[in-house]
Amino acid sequence: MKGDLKDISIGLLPALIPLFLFGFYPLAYAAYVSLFRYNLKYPQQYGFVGPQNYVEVTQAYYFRGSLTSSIVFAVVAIPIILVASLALALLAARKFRGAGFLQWLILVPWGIPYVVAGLDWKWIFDSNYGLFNAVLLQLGIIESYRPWLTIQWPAMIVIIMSFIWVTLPLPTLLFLAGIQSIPQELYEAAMVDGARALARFRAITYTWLKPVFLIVIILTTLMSIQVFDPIYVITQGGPADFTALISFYTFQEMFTFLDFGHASALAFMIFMVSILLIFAYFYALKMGRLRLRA
Amino acid sequence: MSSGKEQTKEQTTVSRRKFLKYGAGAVVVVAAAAAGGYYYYTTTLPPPVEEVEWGIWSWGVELVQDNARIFNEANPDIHVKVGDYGLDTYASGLATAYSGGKPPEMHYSTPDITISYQNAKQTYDMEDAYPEIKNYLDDVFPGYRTGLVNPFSGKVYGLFYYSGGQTFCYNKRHLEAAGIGDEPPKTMEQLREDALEIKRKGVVEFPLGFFAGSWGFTEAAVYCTMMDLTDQEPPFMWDEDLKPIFNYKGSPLFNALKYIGEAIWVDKTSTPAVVQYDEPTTVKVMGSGTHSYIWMPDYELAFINPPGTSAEAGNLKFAVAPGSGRISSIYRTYVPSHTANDLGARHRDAVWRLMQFTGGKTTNTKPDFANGKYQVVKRLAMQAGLAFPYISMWEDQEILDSMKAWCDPQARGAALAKAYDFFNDPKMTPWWDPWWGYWLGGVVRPKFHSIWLGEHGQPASDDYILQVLNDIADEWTKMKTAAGA
Repeated sequence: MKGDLKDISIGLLPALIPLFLFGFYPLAYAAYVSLFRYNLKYPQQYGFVGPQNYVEVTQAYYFRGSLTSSIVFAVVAIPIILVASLALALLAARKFRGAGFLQWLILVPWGIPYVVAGLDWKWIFDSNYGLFNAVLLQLGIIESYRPWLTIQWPAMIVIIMSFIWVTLPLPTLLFLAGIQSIPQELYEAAMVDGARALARFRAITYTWLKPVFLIVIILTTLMSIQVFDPIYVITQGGPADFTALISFYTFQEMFTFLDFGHASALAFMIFMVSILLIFAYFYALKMGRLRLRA
Repeated sequence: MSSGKEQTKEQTTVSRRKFLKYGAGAVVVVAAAAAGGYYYYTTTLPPPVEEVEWGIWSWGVELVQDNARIFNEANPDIHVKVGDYGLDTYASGLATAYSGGKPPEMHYSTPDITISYQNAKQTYDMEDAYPEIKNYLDDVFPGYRTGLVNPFSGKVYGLFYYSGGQTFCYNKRHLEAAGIGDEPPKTMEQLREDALEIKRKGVVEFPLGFFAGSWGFTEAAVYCTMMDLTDQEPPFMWDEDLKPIFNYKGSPLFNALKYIGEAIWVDKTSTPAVVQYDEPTTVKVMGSGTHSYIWMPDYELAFINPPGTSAEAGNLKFAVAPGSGRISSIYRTYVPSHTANDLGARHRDAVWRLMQFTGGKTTNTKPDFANGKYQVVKRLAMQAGLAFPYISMWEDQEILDSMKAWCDPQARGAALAKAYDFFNDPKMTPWWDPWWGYWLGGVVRPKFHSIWLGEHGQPASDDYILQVLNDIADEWTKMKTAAGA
């Protein structure tokens, strides 16, 4: 038994070492730094300040606005992802000519980095040369090119679309896997009972997929909390600071203002919210397993 | 003949005696040889090579590498390694190197970066060991001199990598098409009227461009507009005690915000899209003829004005800016970090020699202030169109001739002569960057952008502009207090 434990420990080392080095240690260090006045511009002020950094960032000029923007982003993006990924999964699960191609097509954006996707979307909505403006002009909807990315809601929507485009494949795959695990007998029985499509969806598909819904909601919320690249690439937080999410200000505190204490406090706050979501995620997974066993 | 045993004994006895005799002699010989050898070693082996890192951002990397190669070949006692810290990642990369305790011995820097490390006492003032560096100040235009001085010590810390200005440029073809002729405006009011005329004649929809995004926001859009609208002498933003002097109706800053807002929303000679103009976009829109006027980095014309380089090639001209004519200076310097001095005098000398090669006067790469030439600065001027703050270089016909391919050197020189060091208005502070949001975000940038974007009235009311100015003044004072100033 003792020998087994030793073997197991040795076997786990290759996985545990990077996990500690690149996962737990930076997290613990961020938590530690968040309790210090640690600004590279003022190294002479270095010292323990307790929770002061947390107080300062929550009272900072940007906090309320960026928190609101983060909530707006999540509230708009997550339902769209949920509905769109489910619709795509339902479509991809059907047996028709070209279903394989559709499945492949759905996966393509997954391979595109957020930065590249962001640049694509920025170009599409460019105020001088953008494709979107060109199309609207051709259709006679606008008389001249519009600077869409300098208007609050259009800018936010472009960022959300860029995020959705890259994020969508994963929830779609999760839904697809869930749909494919539904026993066909259930549908056949429902059809024998005369259930219509909507009733079949509500009674079988939706019920069966409930844990997947929960997983997708939690995963996409986690992703939306941490989203940074499209903002940096497309709007740099603008117009004014309408799309400056909390993750954007974390970056700014860290790399522009060199205030490691503030940045760590913000990062740790995001981490704590993420932890809560991760617990919820595991709970959802457990629910899913129980359902499958049942 | 002795027996074998005896022979062995004799041999043994002899060899011991011989051993002692020759051994002692050998010790003497070896000792002498060693002493001689040591002496020989110290005088003939090459001295250790000083390893120096030259930190750069990713611009003209091949050119920089080639300059390093030239220096290394001519200075075998020094090996310069070029460290590329990226472009967007430059500040963060450098911060990582500084916080890790091993920054490059000498690196490019912008004033906002320089002040951070000077405040943290992480840089080295070259004047401490080489007081002759002050001689360079005599050859620098007045609008740039403060850029070489550490405001905390009052000493010269390094030399210029390049300099230039947010020069006023206009599109000659647009002006002629509108019947204005080839005369750029002399006042800011005339600029407004000419822009309206160009729009009325249908030459372009938005004659007025502003480089109001990325780093142009502060210096090109805000400072150039502000300084050209007023005859007031500097400082414009803060007094000598760094107290805000801009938050009242009719202040130069107030008028600048209003001027741009009205150009966008009243005259409609400009567009809210300007808040998104980063450097490449600014160059692109001027090259494609989207605007007729703009303040933008002087060196950019080298990329869009030579024949065949853009749709408007050859039509773009420099002029002394309308109004006061003042423009924001642009300068980037070579900053020595503490590591330049940490490893002793020999290492420091190596950095000083490299710095003079890259930013000062040399002959065959060797420092020569009296008779040398600005070798690398000249190369950057001729190959990349970068300007220079050194007065003597403006008399170098070879450089002036190289400029003629894309601009009128006299017009460029006249415009740059009015450059003002807006970073030192009246002096640089570590919280200057987070307050402005010089590169990104910050306190001021989103608020000014919201005025120009028409989010609070199209155009924003005077009361709203004043409220913004009061808010940013309060935030300035908070940051100043937090910094212990």
